Amino acid sequence: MDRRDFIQKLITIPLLDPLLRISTGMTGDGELYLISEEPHTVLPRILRAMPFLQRNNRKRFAFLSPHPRQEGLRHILFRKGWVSSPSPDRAEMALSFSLLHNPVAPSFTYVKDGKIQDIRTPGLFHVWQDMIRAHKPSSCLTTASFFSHKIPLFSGKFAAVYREGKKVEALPLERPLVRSYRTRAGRILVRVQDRKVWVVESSCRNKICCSVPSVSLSGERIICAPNHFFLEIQGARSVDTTIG
Amino acid sequence: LLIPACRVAEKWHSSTFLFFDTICEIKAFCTQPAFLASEEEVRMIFSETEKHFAPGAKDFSSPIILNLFHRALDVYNNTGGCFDITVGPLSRAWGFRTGTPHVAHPEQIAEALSHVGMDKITEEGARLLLQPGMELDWGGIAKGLGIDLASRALIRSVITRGFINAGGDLYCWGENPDNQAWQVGIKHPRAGGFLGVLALSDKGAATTGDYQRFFMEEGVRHHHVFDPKTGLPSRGKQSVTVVGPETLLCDALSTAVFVSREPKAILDKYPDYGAIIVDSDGRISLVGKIADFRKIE
Repeated sequence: MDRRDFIQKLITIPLLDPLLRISTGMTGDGELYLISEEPHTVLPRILRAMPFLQRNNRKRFAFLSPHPRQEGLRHILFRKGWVSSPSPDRAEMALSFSLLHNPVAPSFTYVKDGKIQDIRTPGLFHVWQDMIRAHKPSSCLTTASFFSHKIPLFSGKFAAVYREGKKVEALPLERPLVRSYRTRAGRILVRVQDRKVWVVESSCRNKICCSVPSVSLSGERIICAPNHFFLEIQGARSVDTTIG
Repeated sequence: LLIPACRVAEKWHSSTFLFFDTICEIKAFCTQPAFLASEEEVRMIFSETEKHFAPGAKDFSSPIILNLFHRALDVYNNTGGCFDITVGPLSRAWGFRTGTPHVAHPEQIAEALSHVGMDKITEEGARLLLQPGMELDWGGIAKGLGIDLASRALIRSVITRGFINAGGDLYCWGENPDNQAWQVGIKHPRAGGFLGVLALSDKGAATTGDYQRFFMEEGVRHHHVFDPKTGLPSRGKQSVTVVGPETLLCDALSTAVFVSREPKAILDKYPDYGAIIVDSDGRISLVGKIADFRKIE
């Protein structure tokens, strides 16, 4: 397939869609341009052969524009575990349709950061061969734009210190300090430095709280169960709660 | 005479308290009186759960004990014994029961293993009969039960949005204050920060990790999750988080998957559950039904 020839066939509108959506808090992971009368049979095979397009396990799709094969695509994507996104802004794959001026040989290519990517793999080669052999020339251009949501993780503003389940203090993170707290099992020593917090010493037996890495992001916690003590980084909310 | 309607506004409330030897957190959208009542209800349920399933508890005939025993036995059978509530003698041999963890001698491990296996427990009437030397450890399932009971009670009391998190075992329902699924950060098993973020609604989650209770000896990490077949701390994984409809099962399955060498075979039997597995090299894999997990890259 002549990639330069392919890209020259593309009209500019589909190229703009992904660029517009990056500003909505999503990261563009590239666009797949597919020329075929039967995108509903080809797209799942391409997706299977390009697993890196699904960086996480979220699989939500949306149509940015009406598509002549919309029902077929929806049906096959549901079967492959994708779900319809209530809003295009939340979809990991946004599909749009454009009509080329003239029918051309069926083909596909993947563009990321404005550059055509080399995606030659045995699996994709078979897909392409089947398209050339079985599909007629088409002017149907399907653009699948891939996105991953940025996870907004914020550095905390202070460490809320809890003893016996009650908040006793909020330690600001912007200046270094060391605090000692009397606890049920004796004493616990906490240090703040470089906007990070950690337990320096503890009178508990196993010292697991001392071996926990420092915490700095909103929602992160250090718990010392024997001392009935915990601290939580607070500030702009990154997560609702923490497990593990 | 006009009497102004006195309506108590619903808003977000949260509180933290200590139970199950860890921090428990409740967050709920309701009125202040409803939240105080909920808090009381959760404390009562946790207190009852803690009383029945405390280490060394000798109650083998209460309905709550028998019911949880049968749930645990199902998981034991479905996981090829990877989840087993009879690992108490192993915890004792390794010193985790007494608070003085140490590497157990091979003879101690062999002796402990002779008392391990749920198939050694028999039922007579409505009572469990344990063989001499057996010791139950409900730690891998009781907290999940407490959370399920407490969250169902709050949902029944018409609290439509909230979560209960007891030291990493969690159930959340409805939507968060941003009207989205609850964003749950999973602690990284080694580094600071999060491994990733789960978006959950009407789901439970629980994590088993080698970093929760452990000691280091000669550079080797010895933790509290034992392989019931070898009597040694299970190797090959740093953490396992299981997500699914019931926290009780998430709790038990996170231990089973942590111990098992065939996580997929286990989760195939629980099609509504999925696991986020971090192996000993820090690689993350997803097995089973994980609807919405984003890695921190």
